[in-house]
Amino acid sequence: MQRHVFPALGTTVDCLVAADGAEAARALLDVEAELARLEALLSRFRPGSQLSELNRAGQLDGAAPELVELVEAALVAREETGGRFDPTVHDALVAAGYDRTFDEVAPDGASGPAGAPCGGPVEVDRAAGRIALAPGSRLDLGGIAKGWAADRACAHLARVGPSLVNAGGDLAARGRPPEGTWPVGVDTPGGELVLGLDGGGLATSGRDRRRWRRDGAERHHLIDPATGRPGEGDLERVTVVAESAARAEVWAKALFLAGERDAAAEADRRGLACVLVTRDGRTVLTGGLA
Amino acid sequence: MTSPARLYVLVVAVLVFFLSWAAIAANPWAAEAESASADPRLAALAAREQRLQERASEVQRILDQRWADHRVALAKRKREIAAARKAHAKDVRAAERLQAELDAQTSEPVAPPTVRVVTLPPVTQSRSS
Repeated sequence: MQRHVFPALGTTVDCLVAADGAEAARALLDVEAELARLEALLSRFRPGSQLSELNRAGQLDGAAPELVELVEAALVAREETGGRFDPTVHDALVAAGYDRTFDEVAPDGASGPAGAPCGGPVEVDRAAGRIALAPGSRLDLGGIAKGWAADRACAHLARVGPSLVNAGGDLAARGRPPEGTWPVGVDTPGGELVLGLDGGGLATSGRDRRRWRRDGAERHHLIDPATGRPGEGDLERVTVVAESAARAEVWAKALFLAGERDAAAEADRRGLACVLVTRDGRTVLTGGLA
Repeated sequence: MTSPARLYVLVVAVLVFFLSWAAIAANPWAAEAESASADPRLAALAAREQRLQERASEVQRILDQRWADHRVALAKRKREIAAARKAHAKDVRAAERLQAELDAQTSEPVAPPTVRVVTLPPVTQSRSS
């Protein structure tokens, strides 16, 4: 088993591959380089990224295939979740105070009113590599890019052996390790719950991290597109297992915003294995975990 | 005075009159005065023309230097653009290869992931992203 931990995508990435030898070591380094390249392309905090260019100009011709694919995936997720997941939350995040990398966001302070409209149309022409936003609309792909990048990295590592990539809580797994499963720890009020993951993806979204205070009120990064403000439901965090890390990330966020009752119903209906942690300290297992 | 004498005096007087007229008409003191008064203006004008010519030469020299610098910078920028395009094309090819690998793997039917609660020690944790 080889492990490589490095900073990327605004978080810490932890890669494991159940293989020895130089090829596995090289694959791990390739993944680090690939994630650095993707971050340079997709980060809203880098003025030179294609995403920043798109947000500044409102449209982009000659967009990289990765950006086109990710924006398309985000738009599909918006449809699929009924708008609970939405990539057009950029301005709402900025209005909430998340206007720079999280390490640079002041933990407390004053600011203007939180909230900004979300949900503007986005046009994607894959063949021409063209993306166009509605006037005044800007994208944040942070909610899906980490999962998507973890899937991509894991697929690359899977060529040399069973692998697991954890991009700051968004996990992708391919193949079974010698132990038979990938044991992944999930925090619950009653202690750590360990889930055995055989493949696919797992992601956790919650208000317990990436949060700060403005004008005395707590704000966090999970924007409800319906209000343009940080979600104020009855859940503290949600962990979802899905066929990929990107989909797990999308549904973790969508179910967090749905609230306990609707989230549990939706997870059962879709067969999504979930761990819901409520704000009053309960843990609810759904979708086959119950 | 005899008539020839008076005639002689008259002729001399007429001759003196015309000579005086010619001398006055020639106005030699006016040319002196004119040349004396025009000199400072002409000199200033000539000096100004000289300064302008020198300034024009200096501007031309600066312009030539800047044009040369611009051409050098342009050539350097063109080389940088060509290198960036080459690197971008390399990245695109690498991404396409990776995408092809992904497509090949994802084109296989994806079984729904199985997950269960286990008692093994965790190899990693999933915290809120």
